[in-house]
Amino acid sequence: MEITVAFNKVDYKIGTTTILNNISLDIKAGEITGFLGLNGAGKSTLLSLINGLRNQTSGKITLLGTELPSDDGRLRSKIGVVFQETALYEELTTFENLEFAAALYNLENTKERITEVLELLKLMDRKNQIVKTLSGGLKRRVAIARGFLHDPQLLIIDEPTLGVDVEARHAIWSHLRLLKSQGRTIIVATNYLDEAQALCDMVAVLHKGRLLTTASPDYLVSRAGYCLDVECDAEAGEKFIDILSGKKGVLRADTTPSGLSIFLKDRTLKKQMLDIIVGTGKINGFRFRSPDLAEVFKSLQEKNDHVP
Amino acid sequence: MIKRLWSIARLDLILWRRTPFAIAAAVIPPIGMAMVLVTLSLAVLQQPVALVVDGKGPNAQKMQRIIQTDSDAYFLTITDAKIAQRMLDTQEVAAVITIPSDFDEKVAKGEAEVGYVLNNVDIDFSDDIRRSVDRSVAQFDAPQLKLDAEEEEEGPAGSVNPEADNQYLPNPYRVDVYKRDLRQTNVEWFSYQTVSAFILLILNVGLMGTALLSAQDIERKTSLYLVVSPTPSWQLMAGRILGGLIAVMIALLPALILAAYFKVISPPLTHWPALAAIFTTTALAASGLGALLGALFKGSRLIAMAASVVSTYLFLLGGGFTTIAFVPQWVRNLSAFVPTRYAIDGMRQALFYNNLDGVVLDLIILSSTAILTIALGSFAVRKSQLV
Repeated sequence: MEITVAFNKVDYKIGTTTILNNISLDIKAGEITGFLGLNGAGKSTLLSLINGLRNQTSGKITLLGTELPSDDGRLRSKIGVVFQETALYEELTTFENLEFAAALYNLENTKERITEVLELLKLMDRKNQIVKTLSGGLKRRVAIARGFLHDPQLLIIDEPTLGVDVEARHAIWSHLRLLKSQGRTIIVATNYLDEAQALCDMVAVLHKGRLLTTASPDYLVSRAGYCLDVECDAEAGEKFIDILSGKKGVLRADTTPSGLSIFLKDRTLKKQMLDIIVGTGKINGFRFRSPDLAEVFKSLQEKNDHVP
Repeated sequence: MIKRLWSIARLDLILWRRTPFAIAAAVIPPIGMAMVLVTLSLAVLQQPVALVVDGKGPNAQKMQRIIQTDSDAYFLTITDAKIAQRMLDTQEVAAVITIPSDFDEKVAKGEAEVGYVLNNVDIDFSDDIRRSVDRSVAQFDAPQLKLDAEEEEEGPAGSVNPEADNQYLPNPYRVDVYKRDLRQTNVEWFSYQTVSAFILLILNVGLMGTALLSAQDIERKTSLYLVVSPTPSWQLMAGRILGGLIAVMIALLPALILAAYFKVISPPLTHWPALAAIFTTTALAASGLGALLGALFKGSRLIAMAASVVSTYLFLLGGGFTTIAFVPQWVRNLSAFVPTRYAIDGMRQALFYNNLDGVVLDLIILSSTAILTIALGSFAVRKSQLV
C-alpha cells in the first residue's frame, strides 16, 4: 500500500528537552491513522511536523514523496489541517470562513465547492450563521469542512471531538468515515481510545514522546483485555483477586476504590467470571466495559521493557 | 494572486467593521485630538483680560479705545477694580489692565503708566498679553505707525498710518522692520495642526489597527491556519497591508472632505494628487509597520503594547506636535529614521507651500518603508509561528 507519510528515526527537541524521541512510523494512504496518547505524549507535535509548523531536529520525514521541511506551496495545498482550537474567524459566517479558505487555496468554482462541502457535512442551514453563535460541535464541523474544502490528499485533525457533546461526537465520526470512504488519508490525534476504535484503521500509541506501538485499535483493546468492574468492599475484593488470579482467560485483576477491575481475554468469559465471584462473596454491582487509555498503557508497559 | 490579496484585505475589513470596539479605538483619539486643537486654537488667539478704566480724560478714553480695538489679542471684559480682582482670583481672566484715574495728568507730564497684573502661570499666554499691552502703548505713543501690517496692500510695518494724518507727532522710532512672508497669507494654527490629527488617524487605523488584527490572529490561532495554507508569506503581508490601506482611506476620506469643505485645508488644486500620494504611501507604511509588529511578536498583549509605543514615537519623533526643523539637532538626526517625519513634511509641503519641493523624496521613503515591511514581515510571519 502507498505510504503517505513516513517518519524515520525522527527526533524533536526544544533546547535540551526531548519532545519526540526516535519516531519511525509509516502512514498508509486511504486509511485513518490515529495518534493516541495522554496529554503531553507528543501527538500535536508530531502533527505539526507534518503540517510544517515545526521542523524536526533530526531524522527524516517524507510527505507525499517530498522530504520535509519543505516550503513548497503545492505540497501545502495537498494537505488539510484542522487544529485543536478550531481557528475559525468568529465574526464571519460559516460561508465567509469557507470563502476565505477557498481564496487562500486558490480554488475555482468557489460557491459550488462550498455548497458541496456544506451539504456533505450537513451545514447548509448554518451557511449564513456567524460562527461565534455556533455550538462547539458545529464549529468543529465547520473547521473540518474548511480542512477538506480544497480536496486535500491528506487531512490532519487534532482532537476532532474535543469539547463536543455525545451527539455531535458521533456526527463528526460519521463525517470522517465518509471522507475516508472517498479515498482520503486522515490522521487524527486523540486522547480517547473509543474515538480511535470508532475511527481508526491503525493507531500509533505515544507516551512521553516515544512511540510505544502501532496496532489496530481492536488489537490494543484485546491486548489490554475486556474489563469487568465489580463493586464490593475491600475484604471481598482481596478474596476475589486471590481466587481469580491464574484462572484461564484472566489477564489481570486490580483493586480499585470501589472494588476491583478484572481484565478478560475474551468477552465471552464475562458470565463465567461473574458466577465465580457471586459464588464466592457478596457484590454490590458490576459493569462490563472496554478498557480506557490508561489501562491500555498499563498493559503495554507490562509487556514492553523499553517503555519508560 | 490578486484574488488572495483582496481576500485577505477583505477579511480584515470585515473583521474591523464587525468589531465596533476596534473602530472606536481607531477613530476616537483623532477626533479627540481635533477637538483639543479647536479648543487650543481659540485659546491661543485671544486671552481673557479684564480692563479697568479709572481715568475719565480723553487720553484715558483713547487708551481704552486702542485696547478695545485690539480684538485679535484680548477677549476683553470692561469692569471695575473689585470685580476685576475677583475674576483674576477665580482665574476667569488671565490679567487685569488698569488705566489709572490720573492717566491724563501723567500723559501731560510724560509719566503715564498703564498697569497690569498678570497671572503668569503659563509663559506662552503671559507673553502674548505682555506683547499686546506693549503694542497698545506703542500705538498710543506713535499713532503714525501702522502696527498691524499683515495686509500686503497696506505696505510694510512702520509706514505712516493714514488714519493718523491729522496728527503731526514725529516718529519716535528710528529703526524700521521689513519682513517678507513665504506665503501670501499666514497659515492658521488650527490648519497647521490638522496635519497632526491626520497622522494620528493614519497611525491609529493603519498601524494600531493592523497590528491588533495580527494579534487577534495569534490569539485565536487563525494565524496557524494562514501559515499552513499555500499562500506565500509575502502575500499574507501584502494582503494585510492592503486591508490597512483601505481601512485608513475609509476613515480618512470623510475627515479630508470635512476639512476641505470648512476651508481648514485649502491646498492649491495642482497639489491634490501629491497630497493623495502622500496619504496613500503614509497609510501603506503605517499598515506595513503594524503588520510587521504582528509578525515579529508573539502574544496579543505584547503586540498591542509594541504598537502603542511605536505609534507614540512615530507621532512625536515625526513632528506630530511641532515642526521637526525647529527642534534640537540630535532630535532632527533621530527623526531622519522615522518615516512619519517624511509623511508630515510631505503633507505640510503639499498643503501650505506654493511648490512641491522634497515631496518626491518623501514619497520614495514612505513607499520604501512599506516595501521593506513586506520583505521583513514575509520572513517573520512564518518564522513567528514555528517553535
